[in-house]
Amino acid sequence: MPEINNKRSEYAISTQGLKFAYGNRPVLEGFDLNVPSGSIFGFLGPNGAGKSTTIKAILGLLQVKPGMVNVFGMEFHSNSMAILQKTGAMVESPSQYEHLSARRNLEITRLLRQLPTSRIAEVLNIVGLENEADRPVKQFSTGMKQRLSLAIALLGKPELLILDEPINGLDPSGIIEIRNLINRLNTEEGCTVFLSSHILDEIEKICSHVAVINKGKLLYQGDTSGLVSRYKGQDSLIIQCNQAVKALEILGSGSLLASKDGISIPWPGREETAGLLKKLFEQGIDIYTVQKEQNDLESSFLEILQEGGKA
Amino acid sequence: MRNNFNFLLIAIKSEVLKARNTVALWLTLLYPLGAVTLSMLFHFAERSHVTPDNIDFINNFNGLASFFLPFYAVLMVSFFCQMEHRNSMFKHLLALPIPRWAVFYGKLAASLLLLLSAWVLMMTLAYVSLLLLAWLSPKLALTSAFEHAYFIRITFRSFLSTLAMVVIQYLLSLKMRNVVASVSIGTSLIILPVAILFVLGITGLLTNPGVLKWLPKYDPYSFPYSFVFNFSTSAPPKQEFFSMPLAIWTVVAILLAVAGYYEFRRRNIK
Repeated sequence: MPEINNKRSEYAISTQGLKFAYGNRPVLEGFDLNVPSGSIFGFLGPNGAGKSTTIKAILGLLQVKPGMVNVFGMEFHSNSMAILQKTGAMVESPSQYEHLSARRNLEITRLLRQLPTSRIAEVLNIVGLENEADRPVKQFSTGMKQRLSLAIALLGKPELLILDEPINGLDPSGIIEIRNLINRLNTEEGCTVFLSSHILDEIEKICSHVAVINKGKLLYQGDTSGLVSRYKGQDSLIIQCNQAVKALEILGSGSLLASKDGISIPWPGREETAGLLKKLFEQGIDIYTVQKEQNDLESSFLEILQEGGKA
Repeated sequence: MRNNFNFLLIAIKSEVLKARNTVALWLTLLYPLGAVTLSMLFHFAERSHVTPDNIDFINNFNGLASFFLPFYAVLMVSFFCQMEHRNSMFKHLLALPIPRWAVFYGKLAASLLLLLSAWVLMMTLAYVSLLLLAWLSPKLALTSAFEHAYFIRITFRSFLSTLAMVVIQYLLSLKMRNVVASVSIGTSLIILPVAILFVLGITGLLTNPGVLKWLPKYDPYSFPYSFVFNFSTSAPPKQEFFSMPLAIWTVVAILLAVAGYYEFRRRNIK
């Protein structure tokens, strides 16, 4: 089994021309994904975008031809054992033997990974299942199953953790715990975390990097802050007033939008907003509410999907 | 080589761990228990016709065990593979640092281990039943003329004759997520030759079933029946261990196990 080079490669995962089709239906349309080493990388996309298929392709569960997957700077297929030794994964729904206890499920993976028995207690402790370890998994809630899957993924002290929808089914405190755990693994142990999620708020809170995928095409990859700032100019000022059309005439710009409740204009800046409001007030327009609609990851994500759809 | 053997060994060990509380394990316990209980009742009822060498008991016991054997093997293998599908475990197993061949052959070896366990348990229970019968009726006591070697040999031959069927059923069960589908195919193939003989018999098209005694030999699922359906009254009471069809089906089982792995290796785990 080849050893992983101690010198870190720039990218923990990098793909070139990743393509895959189920029969005649293309799912991945040949994209180059680069996940920087040491990052927490969020993988975003609507249902059916190809997120899980990408994860399966990275883990060698799908035969991607043409296309190449490199993990830790090594080509996957010729180094799969060495790569998987340092990779922990949770793919789609939790995979566990429901007729067995959590401890026995961990024991099976421990055996296959050839790890010391003490690791089981450690990961049970990490995910907070130490008191439930001997209960059959079929009695577990969705959140507990999710934690057990995470424990199984953590067994081998991975350098790369691939998590597909890790916070599905978790309650708010569970989400916070998982978020803290991911942060801790990343900062203290230098683990690269690649996670897909539908929960944009979580991705924004936790991820240093992000990629957006739709219909098998990669629409964006880069810093999370970069994605948000890309649409920064489109923050809006929403003014609800009694005479929207008159207000538009006063402000006099072609890029304004009016409805019966109010107007929406591109965010003009703090001082300019005060001036505009003063102007409207002086012209006898009653202003009910003033709101800055901030551009966030969600709106950036939607914008990117729309752009991708037009392309 | 040592590393490869180690991979296979840990794959088998992990399969043994998984077997706990499964239908496959329960069947492995219940099949020998059921077969021995029925045989014991039959032997006790026929105690007035017992010969010192107990050849009739041995042949009847083997016939009874062989009748249920294909059903046990089909159900055991199907449910043993089903636990991977039901729990979506293949995507987890194949993302672990263990070669695909070890996952494939580890599970197949564990299925064969369960089959072997059923045989060992059945033989143990058979001897316990003989001791129990001797206690109930002195006529049934084991004598020095009892053919222990023959008893072990022909029951083992019946188990060996299921090899090709076990491998085919294994490949079917790995392919099909739906356990009902794989079990239905398996049981249909067991029953088919018997059903043909039955239909030809009741319609009067076949007066001597002996002319079709070759039929089960060509179906790996009903092959174990070819040793126990005795259509000829002049058949010798003791049967040979080795037969050409047994050797051929054993070779077919090995070839299918190799071919099946090449398909499994290239499979996409959806």
